[in-house]
Amino acid sequence: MFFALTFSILASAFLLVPLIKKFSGARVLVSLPAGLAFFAFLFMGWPSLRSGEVITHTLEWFPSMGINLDFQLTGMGFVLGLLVMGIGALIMSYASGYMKGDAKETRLYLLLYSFMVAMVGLAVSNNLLLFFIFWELTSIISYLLVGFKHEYETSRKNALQALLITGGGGIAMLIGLVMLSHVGGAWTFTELTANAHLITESALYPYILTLVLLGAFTKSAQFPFHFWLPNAMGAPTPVSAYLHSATMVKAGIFLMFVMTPILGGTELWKTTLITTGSITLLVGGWFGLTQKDLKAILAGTTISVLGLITFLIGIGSDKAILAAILVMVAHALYKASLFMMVGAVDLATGTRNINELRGLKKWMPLTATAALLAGLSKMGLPPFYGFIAKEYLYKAAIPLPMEWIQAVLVLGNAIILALAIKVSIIPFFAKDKEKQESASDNPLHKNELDWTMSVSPFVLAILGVLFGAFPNLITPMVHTAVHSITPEANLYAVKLWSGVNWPLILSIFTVGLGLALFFSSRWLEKKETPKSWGVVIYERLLEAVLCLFKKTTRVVQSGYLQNYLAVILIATVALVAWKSIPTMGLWVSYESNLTLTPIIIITAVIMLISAFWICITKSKLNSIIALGVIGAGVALLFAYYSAPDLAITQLLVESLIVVMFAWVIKDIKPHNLSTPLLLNSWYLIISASFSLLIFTLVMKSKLVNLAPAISQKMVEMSYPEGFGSNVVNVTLVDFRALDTWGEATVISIAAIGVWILGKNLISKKS
Amino acid sequence: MELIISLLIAGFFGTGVYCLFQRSFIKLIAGLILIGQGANLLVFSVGGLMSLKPAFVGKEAPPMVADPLPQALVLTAIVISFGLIIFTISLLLKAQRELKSDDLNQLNTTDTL
Amino acid sequence: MTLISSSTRVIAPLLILLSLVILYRGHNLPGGGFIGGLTAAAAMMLITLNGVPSKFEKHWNNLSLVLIGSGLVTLFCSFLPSLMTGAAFMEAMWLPTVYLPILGKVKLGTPLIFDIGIYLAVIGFSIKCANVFHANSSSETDH
Repeated sequence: MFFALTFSILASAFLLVPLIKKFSGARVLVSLPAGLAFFAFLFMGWPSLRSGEVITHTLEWFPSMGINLDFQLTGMGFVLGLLVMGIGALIMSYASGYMKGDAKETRLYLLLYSFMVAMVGLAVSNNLLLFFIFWELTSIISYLLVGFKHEYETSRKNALQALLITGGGGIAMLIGLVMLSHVGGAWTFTELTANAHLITESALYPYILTLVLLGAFTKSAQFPFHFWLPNAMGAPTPVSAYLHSATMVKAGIFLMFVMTPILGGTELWKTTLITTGSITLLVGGWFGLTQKDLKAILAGTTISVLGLITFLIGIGSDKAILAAILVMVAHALYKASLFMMVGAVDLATGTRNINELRGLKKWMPLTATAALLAGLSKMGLPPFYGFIAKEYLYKAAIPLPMEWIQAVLVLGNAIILALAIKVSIIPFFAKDKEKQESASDNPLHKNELDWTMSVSPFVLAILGVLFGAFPNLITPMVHTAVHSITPEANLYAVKLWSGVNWPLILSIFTVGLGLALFFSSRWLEKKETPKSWGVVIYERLLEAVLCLFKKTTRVVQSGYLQNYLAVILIATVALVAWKSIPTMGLWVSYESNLTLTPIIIITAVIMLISAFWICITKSKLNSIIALGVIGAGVALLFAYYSAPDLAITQLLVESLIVVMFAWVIKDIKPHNLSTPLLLNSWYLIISASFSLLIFTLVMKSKLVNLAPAISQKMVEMSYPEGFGSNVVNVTLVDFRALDTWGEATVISIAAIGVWILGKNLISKKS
Repeated sequence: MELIISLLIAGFFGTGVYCLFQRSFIKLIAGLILIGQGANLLVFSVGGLMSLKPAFVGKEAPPMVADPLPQALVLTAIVISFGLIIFTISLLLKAQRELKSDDLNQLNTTDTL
Repeated sequence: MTLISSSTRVIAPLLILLSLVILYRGHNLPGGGFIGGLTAAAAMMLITLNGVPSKFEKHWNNLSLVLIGSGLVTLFCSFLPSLMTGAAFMEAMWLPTVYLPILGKVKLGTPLIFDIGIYLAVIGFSIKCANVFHANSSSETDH
């Protein structure tokens, strides 16, 4: 009921969205289904989650293999679902302003809704395969959205890149999941959690872990697969805000969360995640520092934060999981807000270059406020939610034995802070010192755009303050999420102020380092971003694969029928001869119990002569006449050998074919299409040997009685049960009616084919 | 198997394949028809040939009639090859109109159309 | 009026009548849906070759699609009795034998409906092809 309701509200969008074109004044209503689904999800899911009741639903799929459509609402899935639908509703409302007047806007809304369905499905699926299906769906929809401006080649290229990387990871993950279910003996996450010891002790564990993490790392843009994320920023801004910062990239994080009780806790898990997470944190930050494009900077910090979360999941302690969830929520709130702000600035000024944007607060006061609030949360300053997340992050990291980790974290957070200043403060509040002719002086649409475009980022930014000041508003939900990952965890209270302690000192240090980085960041910006080596490897690999297949195709698919035929026939003759001659011998013995009448012999001779005549003649009329003779001859054979129905059908078909053939080829001017003699004799040899093979095989086959029992039964049952004397007809319309039905379908499809081919011709003429 | 029928089948297959090797589209269709005839005859005759005893029955089944099963199969096959050949003929028509040619070797680059 | 066109007027209706007879008697004697359909197709071909009367010209092109469609629907309808009575899918169902004047003993059942479906589909196919080929060859000669 719960799942059915949520999904059906979301699905109602597919009916609502197409109506937008008619009621363009109320286009903001596209966000309605997402909003309703959000509240339904919240108010129906939360009471039962809180009371400890588990909402599950199972639909049978392949019960014989133990694979079912299992849905279950877990604490973690609940948080992810809320983020997806809540931010989704705001994004939809934002998109209704952003896409105003775009011809493809309906398409964008529908894709975003499809994505929402897939993402919610991902959050509530309790079955490995179901999870995989939703996972792949998000990849595919992301492909369509990144390539949304498909008129541009870069857009298509980047979409393909994102698809190949996340899709490739998805396939690795599928293999990992199948192995996981094999080792763990179940397909559901709940059962696998119960069997976790079986899995971690198994010899296959390292392989399973590697494969599953490949999926998570590619999806969540972890090093070394991070390079697809900045490239995916070519999508329209609502898409970047929604998929590539707030939700889809969190799918990989979600997978790691869900896998924590199943695969987690081992040294391998910890080392891999902590190392990858730290590297990603710094790599993403460095990428952001070198960029001038607002969206690219945000993409860089997104990569950083994803690394941070991976790192925390890798630690795996109670505090770390709590911190990971806090970071995830805080990041979703401020990053989506910032992205939407960038989209609004982009639309208003026509540029995203950080050095050209100054003093925008005068023209876009609401957007500027939202950017400021979100930016402060991103910087990790009190009293914002980002601050709480960062405090708990340090709390989780301090007990670790490795000191370098803390240094890395401080550096990473400092970079994020520096970039936050750059993105959210500078464009709006800095004065244009150089007084240069920059885009911000351009008076062209300088004011706030559609109200929907500033409301959504504003709401998210306000939520960041609200949750920061009153963390207990959502702490219970965060706690259930922690609980669903580590059931025995101590649930630490989430407080804004916990006194002067070591994390606070680290925080202050972070702020100092961040400011220093900010003031020096001008020198780090690069004019041209060089391709990262990840991209280079990807491109080389893609090129090599395409080249290989092009070459293979060129060899295998020459486009000449003769070549294909020659290969097929030579192979057939050689293989059959190789297998059958040693066992059966070449000699054909001849015995017959059939009386041959002169008529049959004469007919056969005439038919053979006609067949050869067709090969030799250059005249098209002669060919048709010869074909007619052969058809008539075959009909005669049928008639003589007790098949009157066949004979009649053959005659009729033959005459119809001859008429239609003549109809068409009477217009064809004869060409001199002679084949060179040498080549022709080669074809002659192949044909002759094939003919010989057929002859030998047919002679060797001693009256294969197809199925005597069936034939006999048909003859016996024809009159008493089929009520017909003509056994062949009774077979066609009764005993074997399915075949005949299929055949009628074939004829109909052929008719459609002829129709379409002919229709084109006729319309071209007129 | 009967010598004369085997010769016919082999002859049809051989000449049919030889026609397929030619460059003319018309020869291609002729080849398809020939191979179709050969295949029909093959299926028809492997059931055992019986002259002048068609499978018509009354209340009591006669002891010896021709095998109806291959006949039903071949009847279906004839009609399907009818459809196939007519479709190929319309392809020829299309090729003729678009390319002004019935040369198969000019039909190997469909993508450039 | 050429010999062909005048003879078509006589032969075509006769052929169609003949095809119906062939269709009906197919269950007991040589004939049936295929043969009947092809016979009728020959009649249609004659009509097309000879030039469709201008009254029908508009509908002639649609006729083939209607025939194919109704043929497929008829085929499916012949399975409905077996579906509705819960028998095995496609199992033949028969009405009791009746005796009629001229026709004599008549036994009606789903296989006859099935055969009619085949008959219609085959005619539709042939008309469609004849139309296409005829339209193209005549447009060529016009030029």
